[in-house]
Amino acid sequence: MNPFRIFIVEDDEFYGEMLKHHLSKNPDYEVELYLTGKECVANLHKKPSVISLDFTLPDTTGYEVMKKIREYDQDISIIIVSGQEEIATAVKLLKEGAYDYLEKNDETKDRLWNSLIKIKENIGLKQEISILKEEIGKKYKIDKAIKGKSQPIKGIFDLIEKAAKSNITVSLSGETGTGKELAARAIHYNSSRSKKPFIAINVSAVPRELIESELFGHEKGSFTGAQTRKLGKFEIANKGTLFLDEIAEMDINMQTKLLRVLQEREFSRVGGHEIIKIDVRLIVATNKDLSEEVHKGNLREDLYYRLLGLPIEMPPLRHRGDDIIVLAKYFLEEYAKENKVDLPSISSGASEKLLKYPYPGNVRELKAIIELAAVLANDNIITESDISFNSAHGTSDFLIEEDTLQGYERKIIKFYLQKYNNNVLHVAKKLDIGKSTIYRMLKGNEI
Amino acid sequence: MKTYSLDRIKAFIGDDQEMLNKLVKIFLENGPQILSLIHNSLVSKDYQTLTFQAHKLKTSIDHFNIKNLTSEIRLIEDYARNQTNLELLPSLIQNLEQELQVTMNELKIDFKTEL
Repeated sequence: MNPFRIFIVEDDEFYGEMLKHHLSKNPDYEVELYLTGKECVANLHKKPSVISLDFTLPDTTGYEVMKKIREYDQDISIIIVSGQEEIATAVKLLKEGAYDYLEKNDETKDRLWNSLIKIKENIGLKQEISILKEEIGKKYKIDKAIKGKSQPIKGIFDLIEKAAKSNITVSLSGETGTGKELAARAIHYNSSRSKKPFIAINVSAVPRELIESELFGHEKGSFTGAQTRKLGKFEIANKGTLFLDEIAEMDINMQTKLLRVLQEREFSRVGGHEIIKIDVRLIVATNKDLSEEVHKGNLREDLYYRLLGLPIEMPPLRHRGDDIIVLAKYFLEEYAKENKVDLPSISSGASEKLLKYPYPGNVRELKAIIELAAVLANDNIITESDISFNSAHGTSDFLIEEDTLQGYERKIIKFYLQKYNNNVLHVAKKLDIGKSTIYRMLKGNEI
Repeated sequence: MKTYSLDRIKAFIGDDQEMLNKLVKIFLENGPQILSLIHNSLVSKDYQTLTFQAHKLKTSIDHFNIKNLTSEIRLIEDYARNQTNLELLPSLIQNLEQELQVTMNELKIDFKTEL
């Protein structure tokens, strides 16, 4: 960590030495005194954290020195110390970025001392945030965020990398548990916006009447319960990325408002008049087929084209082959770390069993299966019997309950109709059967 | 009765005799230089320099609590800055030079062993 270096720029050597003596009482401070603005500017390479700047200098004005400091390094906090109180000057300097404005009097040394404590705290917090951001950034490096070596996932890495290099809107699709949010975060943290916020909101999780306020914020008193001004997700995500999950669930009226914001790049808070300009990168996700949603009238066509941008379809785990084992081992490592236990191994029988399962819940389901297996395992080896599939989708039950081929066929078609909201055309295409077969079964109440 | 007091400086720096000696030394070195600049800028009617130097000297006068000069130095600074009552400046500056010389002489004697 850099030392907390303070420059005192004071043409009055007498007063400057007194300030230096006072501030040097704190062993954490390295205090240097300069008698001219020129000397101060020439020593900026020493990276002071704070500069206490006398406004009246012999060789230049406080404004000029402040400008040069700002040009050199925006992060240096500047405290102006002036021999006379001039409100207009103080206001101007504070507007131009001075941290504080102190008048030279008996209280100056204490006020300066307090200001320095606050600045040091702020710098400490900023450094902590910066370290955390760096750590998050590392965590979301594409190949670290998403595990796997299969061809389908390599294709995803490639698309994420392309998405990260541009500002294009990204629409992520894929079954539940395929890692859409993880992909969104990987795009953000590998993009030029990585130091700015990544804000995620699940559209379906917010009540319809609150979604506008969640997205665009509201002014105090704009509706019952709006007791204070609240910033919306768009405003919070400014200069960063906004991730709208389950976008297909958005109410049609809200879609109109969202479209307008995406077109105009500005909005007003609910109940407000102020126009707020935004620069937000949008990533949306859905487990539905958005074109189908347009067809059904659930999604505005113009919004669909706005949102489509770069479409990325996250592959289901069952299409990712050996990634299942790669991921299983990764989850075991995580489990061992979190629970401070030795890393369990996976027997070949257990591996085979894992590779055969279709994972309707995808990676999320695999994680749950592995964690349970790690708990059940004896001698730290996960065997076949430790692997149990309790999918909410009931795939295992489906196979366990013996049936005729025709019976299985009916069940499969019924399952797919439910999954795709009774869209016969889509299901026929998915199962590669004639649509008339499905209509016939529906008519005959077979399904 | 001394023309100065060290109370305000001691309140600032505490009981640090070494620092006190250092400050007295700075004052005794810089004081005559500032007085000379004030004198010359009055002669050359360079009121900007005059304002600046008076402003600078004000801090030391205040901290040494030289009561005879605390209001005078402010008048000099104000008159020079606003360029008003310029006819009063020569006598004010003459008085400043004399009074300050007295204080500096007292300090030289009082800090003879330390400096």
